[in-house]
Formats: sequence, C-alpha cells, structure tokens
Amino acid sequence: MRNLHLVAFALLVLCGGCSPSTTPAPSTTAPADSAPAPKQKTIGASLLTQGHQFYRDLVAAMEDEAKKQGYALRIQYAEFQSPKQINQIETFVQQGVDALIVAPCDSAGIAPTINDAASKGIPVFTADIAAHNANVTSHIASDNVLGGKLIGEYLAKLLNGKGNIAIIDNAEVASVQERVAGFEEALKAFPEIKIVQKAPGYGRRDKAMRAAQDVIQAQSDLNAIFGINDDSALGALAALESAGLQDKVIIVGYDGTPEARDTIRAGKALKADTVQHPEEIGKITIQTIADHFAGKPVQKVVPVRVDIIDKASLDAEQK
Amino acid sequence: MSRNPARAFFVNYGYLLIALVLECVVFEFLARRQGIKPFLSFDTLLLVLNQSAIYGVASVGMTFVIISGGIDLSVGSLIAFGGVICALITQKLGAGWNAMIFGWFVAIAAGIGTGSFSALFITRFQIPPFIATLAVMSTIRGLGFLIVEGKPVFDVPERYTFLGRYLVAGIPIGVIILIFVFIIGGVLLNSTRFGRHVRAIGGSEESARLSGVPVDRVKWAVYCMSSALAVLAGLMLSSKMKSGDPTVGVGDELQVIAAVVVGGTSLTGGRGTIMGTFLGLIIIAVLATGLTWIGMESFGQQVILGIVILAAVLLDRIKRT
Amino acid sequence: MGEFVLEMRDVTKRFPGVVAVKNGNLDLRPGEVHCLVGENGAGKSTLMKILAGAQPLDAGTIKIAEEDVHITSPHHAQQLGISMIYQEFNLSPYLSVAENIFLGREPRIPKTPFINWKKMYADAREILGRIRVNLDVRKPVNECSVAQQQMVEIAKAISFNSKIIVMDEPSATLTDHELEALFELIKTLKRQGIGMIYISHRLEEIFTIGNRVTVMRDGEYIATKQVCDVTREDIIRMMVGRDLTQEFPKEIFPRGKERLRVDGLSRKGAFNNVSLSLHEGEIVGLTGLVGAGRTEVARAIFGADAIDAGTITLDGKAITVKSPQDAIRQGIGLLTEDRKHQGLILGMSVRENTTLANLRSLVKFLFVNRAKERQITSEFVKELQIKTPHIEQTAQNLSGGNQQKVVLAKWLFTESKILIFDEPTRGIDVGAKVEIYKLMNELVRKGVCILMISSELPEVLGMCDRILVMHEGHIAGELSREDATQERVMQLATGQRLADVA
Repeated sequence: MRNLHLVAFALLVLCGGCSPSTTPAPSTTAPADSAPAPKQKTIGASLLTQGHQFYRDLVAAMEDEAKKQGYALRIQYAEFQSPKQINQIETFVQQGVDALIVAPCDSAGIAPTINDAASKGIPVFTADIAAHNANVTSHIASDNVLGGKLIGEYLAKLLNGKGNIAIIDNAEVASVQERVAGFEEALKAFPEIKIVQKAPGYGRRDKAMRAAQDVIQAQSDLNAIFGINDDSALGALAALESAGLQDKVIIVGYDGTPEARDTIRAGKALKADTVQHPEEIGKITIQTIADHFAGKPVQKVVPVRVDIIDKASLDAEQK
Repeated sequence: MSRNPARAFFVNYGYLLIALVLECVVFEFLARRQGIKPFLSFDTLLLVLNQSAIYGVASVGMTFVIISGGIDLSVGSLIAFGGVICALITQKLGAGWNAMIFGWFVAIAAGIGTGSFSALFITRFQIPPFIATLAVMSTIRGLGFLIVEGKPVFDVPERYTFLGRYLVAGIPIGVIILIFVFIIGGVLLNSTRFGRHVRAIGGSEESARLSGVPVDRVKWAVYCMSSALAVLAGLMLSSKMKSGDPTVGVGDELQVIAAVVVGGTSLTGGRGTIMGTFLGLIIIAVLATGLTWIGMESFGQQVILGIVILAAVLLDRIKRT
Repeated sequence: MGEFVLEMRDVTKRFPGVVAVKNGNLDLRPGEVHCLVGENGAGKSTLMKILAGAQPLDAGTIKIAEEDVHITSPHHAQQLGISMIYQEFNLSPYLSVAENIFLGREPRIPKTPFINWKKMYADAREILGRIRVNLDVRKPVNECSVAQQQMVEIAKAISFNSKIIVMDEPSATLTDHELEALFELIKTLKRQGIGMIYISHRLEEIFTIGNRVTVMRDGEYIATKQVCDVTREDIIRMMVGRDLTQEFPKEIFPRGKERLRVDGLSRKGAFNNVSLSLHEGEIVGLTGLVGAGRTEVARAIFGADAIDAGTITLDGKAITVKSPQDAIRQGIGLLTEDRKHQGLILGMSVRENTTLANLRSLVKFLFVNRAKERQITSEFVKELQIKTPHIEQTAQNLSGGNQQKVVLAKWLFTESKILIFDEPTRGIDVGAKVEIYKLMNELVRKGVCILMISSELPEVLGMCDRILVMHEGHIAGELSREDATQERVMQLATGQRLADVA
C-alpha cells in the first residue's frame, strides 16, 4: 500500500508541477517598447481548433501582432465542441478580459454567449467564421465574394470568354454562397459564358465526385467546372479522369490545400485555386481590436484579401 | 461507524475534499503569480457550478446506473437528441411559453422511452448494458440527425434560453436545477427503498433477486432515470445555445462517467454515493475552469484531467484497503 | 525425527490490532497426511498464507528439507516445492487440461516460439497417469466436473515436483463418490512420498485419511496428535475449548397441521414429479447426492426458477409463485447454499442485509425509517448472537457462521412461515453449527416449517423428523427419524431399493 501512496502522491505533484511550466506568463510577453499603459489590455480568444495549419498560421500572426500592440493574449481551442467554447468564453468574461475573439464551432449556438458577453460591455470579434444573429463588433474573414470573383475572372480568361460551366456547390454554407455570388458576378461581363448547372457536392470529395459524374452525363458540351472548395474540385477531377474527359474540361477550385497545389503543379485539369491568408486574418483581427480600443470606428465586416494561384505562380514560388 | 456526522463525512469524502481544496489553492496561487484576476470568488463558484450543471444533471442518473452494476453510453447522444426535439417543437409551434414547455415534456418523454428501450434489452434479453446502450447511443445520435436533416435548429424565440441563461435572485436556473437534482438523487439513493434496491442489485444481482428485489423493474427505473436526466441536460445545453444542434455531446458520457468514478463510485457496482459524484463533478469542473483561467490550452488540459482521474481513483483504492 | 520435509516453529503473525497466529507449529513428514483443523478465525488460513508466501511472518522459523528458508513470494514457495490447492481453483476455464497444467511453462519446439503440442499432451498424460487419473488432456477445463478440475490442480502441483501440497477444504464441493476418488488419489500421493496438509471442517475425513492432526483455536496452536490416539469428541473439545454437550441438539415437537404441500412438481432437465408436504412442528430433510436436484426443487418452490408442471398449496390454498417476490409475499423464505453470491450482498452492512427482504415494512412516506431499522437489526444481532463489532459492519467481514446468521435474520424479519435451508452449515465451524441448529429448534417451536437440504448425513439424521431422499431428479423414498440410518439413506440416494424396510 505504501507504493500506491507514493504513486498517487507523485501523480498529484506531477500535475501540480506541470501546470505552471506550460503556462504562458503574459506579463512577461509584454514588450518593453509598448506604450506604458496604465493597465495591460487582455484579449481572450476561443478558436475552432489547434489541429489545422490554417489556425496555426492565424494564431502565430495574432500573437505577433498582440505583442507589438502590447496586449496579453489568452488563447483557447474548443476543438469543434460548442459547449466547450461556451465555457471558455464564460470563463474569459468572468476573468474580465477587455475583448474577445471567437472562431465559432457552431455559428448559431454561440450567439447567446456572445450576446451575453457583449451585454457586459466586452466587445466581441469573430475571426474566419461568422456568428449568426450575434452582437459582434466586427467580423474579420477572407473576402469570399472577392475570392469567387477572382477565380471567375481567371476562368473566363482561360476559356477565352466563351463556354459552359458547372458549379459543384454547397449552397447551405454562408461562405460558399458568397463565393458563388462573386463567381457569378465576375461572369456577368462575359455573355458568352453560361452557368449550365449547379450540383450539390456538400463540400465532400465522394459526394462531389458523384455530383460531377451526373453533370458530365447531363451536359455533353461542358467546358469547365468550379469546385467551391478543394475537395469539390478534386472530386470533380476524379470524375473527369474516370470519364476520360480530363483534356476537354478544366477545373478551378478554392482554398489551395497542399494536395490541390500539387495537382495544379502537376499540370492536371485543375488549373487554379483561390487561396486565403490566415496570417492576414490574425493580424488584421488584432489591429481591428486596437482600432476599437483607440476609439476609432470599425467596420462591421472586415474583408481580408485573397489570391489566385496557378501553375505559373506555384512554379515561381518554388524557385 | 461513527455517530458524529461531520467525522463520518470526512472519513468518506476526505480525500476528495483535500483534492478540491488543493486544486483551488494551486489555481489561486498560479493566478496571483500571473498577475491576473484572483481565481477564488463567489462569482467563480457560480461559474463553476453553472458550467458543471449539464454534466452534473446527467451524472446523477449515471451514478444510479453504475451503482446498479450497469453503464449508460447513450447519455451524450441523448443530450443532443433532447435539445433537438425541444428546439424543433418550439420552432414549429410558435413563440408561446406553452410551445416550449410542451417541447420539454415531449423531450423528457422521449428520454424515458429511450431508457425503457435500453432496459428492455438489458433485462428481458440479457444484453450486457455496455452493448445495449452502445447500440442506443448510435441509434439516438442518428435519429437526432435525421429529424432535423443534420442541420441545427436555431430560429427559436428569445425565451428559449430560460433553462440555460435566466437568473433567479442572481443564481442561474441551471445551478438551481443542478442542486435540486442532486438533492433529489441523494435522498432517493440514501433514504428510499428504491435506492437500497439499486445498491443491492449492484452488490449481487442474484442475492437481490432471491431477497425479493424486483430486479427488472428497478433496472428499468434506473435506465429511464438516466435517460430522462440526460435529456434534461440536453435541454439545458440547447437552451444555453439557443438552438438544437444534433452534433453536440459526442463523448459526453465519458465525461459524466469520469465525474462518477472520481467521486468514488465503483464501476463494478454496489458502492457509490451522490455526494461523491457531486465532489467528483466539482473537482473536474474546477480543473477545467481553473486551467482555462490560468491559460492552459485544451490538449494540456486533457492530459491533466487524465492524471487527476487516475490519482483520484488511486486515492480511493488506498482508502478502501 | 530428522525426516521432516517441513517444519514451522513458533510462527507468529500480527495484523494491526490482532494477533492472527501466535506460536503456530506445524511439521510434515514425507508421505504423510497432516490434518489442520480449527474453527473459522482460528488462524489456519493465515498460517497457510505464510507458507504459501502470500504473507510475511513476524516471528518464528520455517525449515524445508532441514534448511531454514525465508519465503518471499508465492512464486518462491512454488520453487521450494510447496503447492496450494484452494477451494476456488486457479484454472483458466477455456484452456484444455494440458494447457492448464503447463500454463506459463509450455514446452516449446527448440529454438522457436511455438508450442510443442505433442510433447505437452504426452507430458500431461504422463503426469495424470502417475496419479492414476483418467482424463482427456485436450478437454477444456470448463467442461470438466468440479472433481476433475481438482485433479487438474493436483496434477499441476505434481508437475512442479511439489513435495508439500496444501489442500484447503478439498471435499466441500465433492459428491461422496468423487470424495472416494480423491482419497484414492491422496493415498497414491502418499505412496510417492508427498506430504500433504489437509484442511477440512468434516471431522470424519480426518479419521479416514489423516495420519496426524493439529488443532488451532483463536490463532493459537493447541496440540498435535496421532489420529489413532484421539476421538472425534477430543478434537471438537480442542477446537471449541469446551465440551459440546450435544452436536445435534434436536428437540421433538408435536406434529401439527399441514402447511405447505407440493404436488407433481416438474422442471425439465432438473427434477420430475416431486411431491412433498411440510407440517407444523417438524424439520423435513431433503438429501441425496450432489446433482440429484435438491437445490433445484427448493428454487422452484421459491419461485427462483420456473416450473413446467405441478402445484403448490399453502395452508390449503393453491398459490402461484412466479418469482421470489411472490414467494416472500406468501411467507416462504430460502436460505441459499451459496451465501456469498446468493444470500448476502457482501458489500452491504449487517443492517442493510437484515432488512433487505422486508424493507417495505420499514417505509414511511417513501423513506426508510433508519432508526427503526437500526433497532430491529440490533435486536436480531442480540437474539441470534451475531458476532459483529457494530451493525454497520459490511457482511464480507463476518465469519461464515455469522454471515449465515445474518441471512437467517433476514428471513426471520420477513416473518416467513416456511423456511427452506439449503446446506445451512456448509463451511461453518462446529460451534456455530450448534447455534444454527438451536435456532432451527426455536423456529419450529414458534410454528415455522423447515425444509432442510443437506449433504451431510449426520446432520440430516440428527436434526430431521422426516427425511426425503432424491435420486436423479425424483424422490426415491422417505424415511422417518426412527427408520433412518446412513446406509438406508445412501441406498436410496444411489438408486437402490430398500431391502429391509417394510
């Protein structure tokens, strides 16, 4: 039994001992060159996940910018669990943070919690993902309308202003609606280009592939496909290749995942992607909060730039 | 043994109390060292209670199930299912209080139905509880998705947040429900024939049966209770989120089981207390809130939670030997 | 006297607050059966645990083959040639006989990790042959009878080249026939020079196979005697420390009216067309070989198992008993043979066990009246002389006899009119047995009818007014107290006709 005592004690010491060492001490992260404020501002952030490269880039930029501005930044990840996110935000509110950043796991379900924080005078900023019907000071995210527009224009150029296009859609997601709206807007300038069909691919590769197969069956003179994300685009590519149409129909996608980049670089039917800039989102989020603290008016929605990548740009990047 | 209730309390729950106090002291110390707002305050207490309300309500039912020698894995799915049903009914029937209250009753009734279903398989067909409730977990999760076609229901009236966000005399309703459920659960387990029967079945089902305990009926009641309380937890969560989301609660049964086990309830059945579960729940809740408070991210939190569960169970073992 | 294989001298073991064994002495010659007797709590098992390396000793010496040893672990004990055969076997149920014998020491095909099955089966057969046991070595252990499993345990001990085998209550679960086979086996082992320590509550066995007997009482060594020098009464006196006036304190009461009547009770595969009746003022014995269906009949009357045919009549009224609840409501109680798994909730207190079957009577507005519960339990503890420090003691910490008394208290509290005792004194020491018999007398005096199932013939003959003997699922015959003898009961039990009974 002595041994059990020892083990139990060791466990307690272990967890007592490791908590401080892994804890960031925000007071020491405040740089010396920041303006000597009466009290350091603290920002609490509850983000979607730590697992995606996108969020790691976003957080790195956020931390850099917060350091520059002299803010203490406390970051929590909800790992796709909305109840956990609610608890994190409530704890931040209880701690009396000066501003909150949220990347919601559940755009609808987080609203009451955000409103609660806002009603206690804490400004809430959403980054990357919006919250529905919530009292948010500012939403900072990629400009999806612009992204759709850029890829639309790029595709029109590839088609020489002429041809039939299908969209592998996921119409229920707000950001996708924006992408498609931008895409359609860009194509208005090209009367000879027609969007002949929108097929639901639900943003998933297997479903997108099936949708693309249906489209290929129905549209004999198809020239191009727009996949609303890379899984949709790659699903469509698989459908084309199995139908032997990879040389007749071209594809454009969205997101620029590593797999999509490789595919573009390899010169397949997928020609170009819209890419987002998570580091910009992170940086601009903190800057927007700084503007708010300084009493400047901030926009309800802050769009963050997006870019097009194609084989040429990727090859150039590699050199 | 001891006639002195205070002493008896300390003999039974001393380790848990020490662990709780230790936790609070560590967090207070770390918060002060970081120069952030002190951890210990009445508001933090309310926060911890409020945040543990959902698991807490479900853990009372789980305590009964585990003491009876069973396990209920369907809790997480029922948390989602309850919220989805209530939100859907409230949305369909309009803005009145009646619609929502009707939604509560339908959801709870669905919970009791689910519990009966599990119990039927466990008693009549002698399916091990682990398997039976595992199947129900999957079925109910799927049903939750089906009835709303996978999308959360969120266009519900403002008063939908009654259970999760309203206050009575500064105390959140969730906390009041939590305390109420624990008191009822404690009285049921300690002072009624039903509670005695639950413990007898967990101790030795055969002995209990041969002593005239209506084993099947008691088990039925236990699983109904667990399911109904899981649904109540789901209603509270759904209210807090002002939406019915079929994706929530995945794996919550494990969190609930953790609270019960840390509280000293034996997974082999027969032994356990509601007070223990309450302390187990609070120990875990303080840990989660405290670690967030001092800024530890979630992966680290999981590691520490695991260590604390191990330490608690180990301490309990030492106490028993 | 230099030829001892084992000498334990002045062995002392203390636990916090108690001395479990004080100056324990035990020695063993090769080829000898040394019986170790004593009531529960006398220190026998602690002494054996020390020998098995499961408990360290606080004082004293142990010599094995003339050499001082310090036994550090069960593994070490095994290496020293000591094997324990416990009541509960250490066998893996789904493995074969051979696999169990060589578990962890399987012969391998040289230079490979693979088991040499041929060699393993041959070796297993060889070992079984050495102890003259005929058993298929490929048979899974769970398909073997209890007696065969015991043989496997013994074979395992032989395979370790054990010189000392300790058998803890080996006869408790055996039928008479199987017991004979065990004794044969023990004789074979004796011839091979193996020393055996034999623990049993059945004193008659000592006289059948024992060479010497050592008696312990309250943790103390009392005496070691040659078996041929002592009588049964001597041993009992040494065990309880006083004269037992009567081993079976039977009181005869006038036979009253019929209370319970069972007609043509049948359950497929268990028993067939069983009829019996119980009258006020009598104890009816139900005996027979293990497996004859006695317990099954009791369970059926009690509603624990369903019946296929037959009627049960209580006080002239036909009753249906579909569950133990029904039976209890009708005033029927069953003290099961397996106290630990079917009689008690071991993790519950004396109080909770006592009131479990009649909790209803203590409920007021949903709540159990604790004060009344405590009062009632205390009364039973006093009345039945249950030895427990307090009524909140958990049942598992009580000795066998006191556990049985708690079970009895439970049924007394239900105010049962009919009580079925299934092996009421199994594993209980002599002193406590007499107390249980006296309590049975007391119950009969108060008008309770008792049906007693027992394999111990002296007990059946000593305590029952009538004896029903079962054979292969039916009642083979009935004997009155006056007519009953061991021989007659055994004749009926083994399916022979009674030649000399009119």
